[in-house]
Amino acid sequence: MRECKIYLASALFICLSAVRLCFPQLPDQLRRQAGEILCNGRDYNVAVQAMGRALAHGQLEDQLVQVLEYIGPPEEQALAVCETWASPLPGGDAAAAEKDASGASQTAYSVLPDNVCSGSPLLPFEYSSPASGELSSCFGFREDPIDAEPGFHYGIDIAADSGDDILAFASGLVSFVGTGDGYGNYCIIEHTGGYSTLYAHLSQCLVSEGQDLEKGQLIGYAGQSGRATGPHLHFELMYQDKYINPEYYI
Amino acid sequence: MKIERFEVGSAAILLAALIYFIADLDKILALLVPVFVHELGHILMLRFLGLRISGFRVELKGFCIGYCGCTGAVGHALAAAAGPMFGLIYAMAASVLASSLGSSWLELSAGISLILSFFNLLPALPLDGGRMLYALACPFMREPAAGKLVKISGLAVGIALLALGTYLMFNGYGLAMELAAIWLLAYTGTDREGQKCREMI
Repeated sequence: MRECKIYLASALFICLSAVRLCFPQLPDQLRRQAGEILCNGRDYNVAVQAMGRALAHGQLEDQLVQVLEYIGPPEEQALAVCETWASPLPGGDAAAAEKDASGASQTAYSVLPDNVCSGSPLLPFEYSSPASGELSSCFGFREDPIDAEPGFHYGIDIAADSGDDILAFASGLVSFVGTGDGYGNYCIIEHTGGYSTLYAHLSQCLVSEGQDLEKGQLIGYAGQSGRATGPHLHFELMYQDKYINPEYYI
Repeated sequence: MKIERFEVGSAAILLAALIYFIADLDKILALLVPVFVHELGHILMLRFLGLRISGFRVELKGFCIGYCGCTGAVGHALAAAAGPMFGLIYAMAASVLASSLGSSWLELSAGISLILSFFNLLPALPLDGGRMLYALACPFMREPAAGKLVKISGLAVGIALLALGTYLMFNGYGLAMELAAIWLLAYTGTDREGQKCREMI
């Protein structure tokens, strides 16, 4: 009887593993639902990770309060991540560091600008990659590829061929379509929960302001309009007025 | 019930199947490594105390190590404490390593180990804290009284967790703590083997 049960359970284990292999999207949906039930959509991973990080720095008690902020509802969580990691970084005032960036660029590299959030909050909607190419330039400090000045890159670059499809990161409303000196042809989509995404250097933008979009819908074609050294998509993810590193979501 | 060699309960397999199906592989590994270190702590301490390990059982209740042999109350308590001790050492090591390597996986694993260790130190059977309490109470009172003490303390911890879980649930923090409390309450009264200080999570 006991062996029977174990064989049955093992058989089920193998079946579930097979299902997981064949339908990789199925666990994703279930995971989201389980997260909804167990954690009410809050990202405990971030909190647990923050605990692990705090341990080495020997300030667990101080950080515990911040850790609790991490487990707020998704919108609060994004703010908590932003506040914790954007402002109180060691190394002094971000503005002061930027002032002498021309003289000693090294100091600027250790301090994030105020409008940047180095965390990766749990997004309260479904999303997918806007382009299929490789990551050609990351979020963060880098030397400008055109004039070699040190600066902050507020998005990521995804390599693409001219005319490649650019897709909506998530469903939302087109809030801006236009042309800029740096961005070239670009558009901005507002998503739920205060998040928005920006798509720049397009050769052609197919959407118009006020248009409703589904996740993965075609919004334009890749190009090198604006300030670009080659065809690519410059992609930015924002929460309210703070930039988030989109690398973890594509 | 004597544990012989390696046994796995069917309910544990079902739970493992569900977790394996739903969770990311790296998250599962971030959990499994601290669990392994925790059990390794028990095993090494039992060996160090000169006790013979008769078997290992995986149940819904947790991981049980069966051992036989005689050692004092302090020995039993030490064997129970070794798991959380190793867990804390691992958490510290992983956290330091994470900050130098910049690995978020190690940070997560350290956090999990930290939580696992502290949860296991709660004075309620079948957790290590309950075993420690029982082992240390035995020299001061007769065995049934010590058993009763651990039962009461386990019930108190369980009810406190249940209250905390209910509070968290109604404040929108989800069911996670409530489930942990229910798990503890379901097993804290029924653990007979535990009272003989023969197994541990």
